Amino acid sequence: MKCRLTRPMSSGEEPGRILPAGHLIEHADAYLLVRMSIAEPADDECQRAADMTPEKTEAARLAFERLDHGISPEDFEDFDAGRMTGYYADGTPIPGPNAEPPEPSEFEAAFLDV
Amino acid sequence: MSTVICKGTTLKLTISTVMTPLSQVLSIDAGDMETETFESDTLENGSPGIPYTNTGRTEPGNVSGELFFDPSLASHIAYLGFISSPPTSPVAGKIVFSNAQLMAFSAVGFGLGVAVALKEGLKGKFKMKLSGLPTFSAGAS
Repeated sequence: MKCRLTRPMSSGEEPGRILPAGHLIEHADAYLLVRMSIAEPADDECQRAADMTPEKTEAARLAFERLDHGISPEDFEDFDAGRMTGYYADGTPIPGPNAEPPEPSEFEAAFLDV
Repeated sequence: MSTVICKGTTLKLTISTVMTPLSQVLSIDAGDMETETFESDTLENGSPGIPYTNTGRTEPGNVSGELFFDPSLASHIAYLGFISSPPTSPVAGKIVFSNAQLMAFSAVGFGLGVAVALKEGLKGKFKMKLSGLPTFSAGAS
């Protein structure tokens, strides 16, 4: 059965090669990539085997994004809301586009008061 | 001192030719690489200590760990597939650490045990035998 990647992914067969979005994969388990939301069916057999609804696809996409970024369950809410995108090496969250600006320090606050 | 936190680490395996993360992993143990040795003691050795010498080969060991098991998840279905239909060639995998450094390996000999306990979620204990030595490097995940 066949599927087509919907996002760039690393090849498991050729180290260092990035498979681009749109890359066609023919494999007996291709439907599993569809279930992970990283591919779309490219034939009827894959479509039937994957058995995905739009709701399932969206849930799988969200789960994959969390997994691919290594997000811990306690941070799912912040990740989903765009307040963080992952972790720095020390474990602190990397601010996302919707992160709240940090509280000003006493020094900065003094300037703001002036 | 340089420390790398474990939160944010992912274990990836090749599923349908694509490197994909294994879901719901709780812990990973990849620490039993060992150089092969032979006992090289001789009669004239007066020391009580038994000497050993490296053969020049290294046992790569295993990657094992624990996960919350759900046989309906795509990556867990794929892992079960490695057991029910053993791949004819080693499966490429990676452990991507939280600082984006990675350990790349080739795995054979897949195992999975399921643990059911009253006060726990359904857990699976996985184990893969490594074929050849893993490599450690910085790289794209």
